[in-house]
Amino acid sequence: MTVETEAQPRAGMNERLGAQVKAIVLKRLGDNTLNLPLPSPVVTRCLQAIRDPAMSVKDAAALVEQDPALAARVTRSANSAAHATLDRVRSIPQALTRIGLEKLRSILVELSAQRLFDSRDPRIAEALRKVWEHSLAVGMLARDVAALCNVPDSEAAYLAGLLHDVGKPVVAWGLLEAERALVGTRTNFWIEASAWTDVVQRVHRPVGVAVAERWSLPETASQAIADCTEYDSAERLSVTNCVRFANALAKREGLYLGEVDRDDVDALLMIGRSMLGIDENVMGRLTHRLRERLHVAESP
Amino acid sequence: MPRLLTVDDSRAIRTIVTKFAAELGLEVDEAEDGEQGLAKLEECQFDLILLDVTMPVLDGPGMLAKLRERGDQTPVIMLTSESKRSIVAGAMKLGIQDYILKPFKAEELRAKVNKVLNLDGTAGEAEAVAPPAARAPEARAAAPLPPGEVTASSAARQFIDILVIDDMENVAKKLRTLVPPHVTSNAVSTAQSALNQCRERVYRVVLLDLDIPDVNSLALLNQLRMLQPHAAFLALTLRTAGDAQKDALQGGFDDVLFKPFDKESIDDLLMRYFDNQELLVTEDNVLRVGPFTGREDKMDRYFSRLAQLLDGAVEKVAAACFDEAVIDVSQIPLRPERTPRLLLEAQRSCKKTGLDLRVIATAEGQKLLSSFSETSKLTVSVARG
Repeated sequence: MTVETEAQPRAGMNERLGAQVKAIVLKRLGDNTLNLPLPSPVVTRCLQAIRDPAMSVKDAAALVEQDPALAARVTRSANSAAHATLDRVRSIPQALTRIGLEKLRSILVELSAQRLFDSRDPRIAEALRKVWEHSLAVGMLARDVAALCNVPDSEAAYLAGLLHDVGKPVVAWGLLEAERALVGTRTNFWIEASAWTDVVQRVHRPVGVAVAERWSLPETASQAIADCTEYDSAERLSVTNCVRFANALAKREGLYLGEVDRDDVDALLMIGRSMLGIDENVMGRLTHRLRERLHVAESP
Repeated sequence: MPRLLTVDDSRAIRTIVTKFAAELGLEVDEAEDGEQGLAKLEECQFDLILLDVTMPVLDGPGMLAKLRERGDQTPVIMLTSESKRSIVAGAMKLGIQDYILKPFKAEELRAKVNKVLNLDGTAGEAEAVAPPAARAPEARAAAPLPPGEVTASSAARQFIDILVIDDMENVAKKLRTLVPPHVTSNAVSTAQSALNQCRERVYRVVLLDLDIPDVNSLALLNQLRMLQPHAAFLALTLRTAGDAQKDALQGGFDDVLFKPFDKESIDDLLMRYFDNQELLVTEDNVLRVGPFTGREDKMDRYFSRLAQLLDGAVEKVAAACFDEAVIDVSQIPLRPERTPRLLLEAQRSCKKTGLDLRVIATAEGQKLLSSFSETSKLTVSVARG
């Protein structure tokens, strides 16, 4: 005879709810009827155009200039400590020359993703802020891990890290829509916060994969979304393995929404160190000033 | 001699491990599966087990569980091609010290075995690896390291004084004309080559341009810091670059060096990071303070650096079991607002370490010190000549 604890029916309920939300979100993603906060048309056009290797800085600048928010972001990046030394940039072509088209791509994807992590509902906004903070941390750590392990294209590692949980806000939007349909209000969670997190956690991966397909995200990002918990030993020094390691590191640092299984995290770090050849000393320094760096990256 | 047991169904792996263990001066025994491993452990004690996961008869996790059940806490490193998180997490719960994924590099095996068996004596190496001059307080604060956190591999790396990272070759050439020949330097123009240099060598000072095309300088700074925890990182920027200095310091740089270089700023850099030896020379129990050379407006920095170096120098004297430290300030500039304060610092350091302090000064110096109540009781001898 089994004794049913209080947590068991709750888990079953969350599982059923998760399955329903997943089905609804995937269907609506497929129909293009999910009411997501999409990036501006200029950002979308820019993302498409930048895939063309023949695209010139002049062409890119012409597009960027059409979106004031994007133009401001590009200028800010060009004038930041990461790039600036000369006089402040005065034009978008000048800014793009300074930061390069790869950086522009990062900014575009970041802008697109960041809109998803915003909500007018304060509790959802707070939960999504934590997811965004985790994603940003994983992106930054993955970039460092890739650079230190000699994995080509550390910028791809940053993007893949940033997007590895992109399914979470989409599921959150799906839940919010369901709530509106049910109770016609968005003042409070219609389910408990812990159950909300649990449902998001259960179904975000397949939803994220569908988003990656729909947005034609880079292959490395799709791989990181699909599986961020088991390394691929066939290709040790891969961008995705860097993201997996970074994900475990961010969790160990407490930058995560939801419960963390410490044993799992420790195992992932131990495997990752050997998989990627990360020296113990370097490992200790990877998270040095991480919260400060996150703060700098998040500041407007 | 430490004893190692390799438990692996692959003869090739056992042979490699045996050869490697012999190189490290370890005694080694082999077992083909978990059952054999347990039997060997009943016969004699081992200091370390290298344990495979998938084996016939009894696998690694099974052997580990039985071993711990009978209270045997022999350290274990898993050496396996298994990378499943759940299996490694399970083994960690039973107590493994580390994990090595096959195929593996000899350096990884050596480092992890050394660490578990405590063979490398890393605590002693830390001092040997980090050049004292590079340990400017700012650099230490920016990249703190627990004591002894230096690997054997870094001990073998070549020391170079300065790394210049700038896409314009002339920057490094110009710097070369301003630094003395004994100060060694390297120059690179891309992020990748900078990372490679920092993997292979140990630098005291890294000069990183903020305006390398397509390079995020702050991200690169962070990556280089991980490889060069003891180095000081200076941002290279133009004087005309508005808030660049403030931004660079906020972004984690230790300091800023403006381009084009001038003699004074390079002299300042050399004094700050390379001339500590001449600023305060210790011979037995005598601390000889070097003269001040430079512009008047650098005087404060001269006294600050001296004050920072004093503690370490006094500790050296105490560690050598002298009863008294002698500080020779006969070449020091006599400043009523700075000189007595420096000697009070020296007195405080000596008191802390249980040493007496004697001062050697010029006649003018002695007069200056006796004119302040706090320093009038110091034992001062007048320097000859």
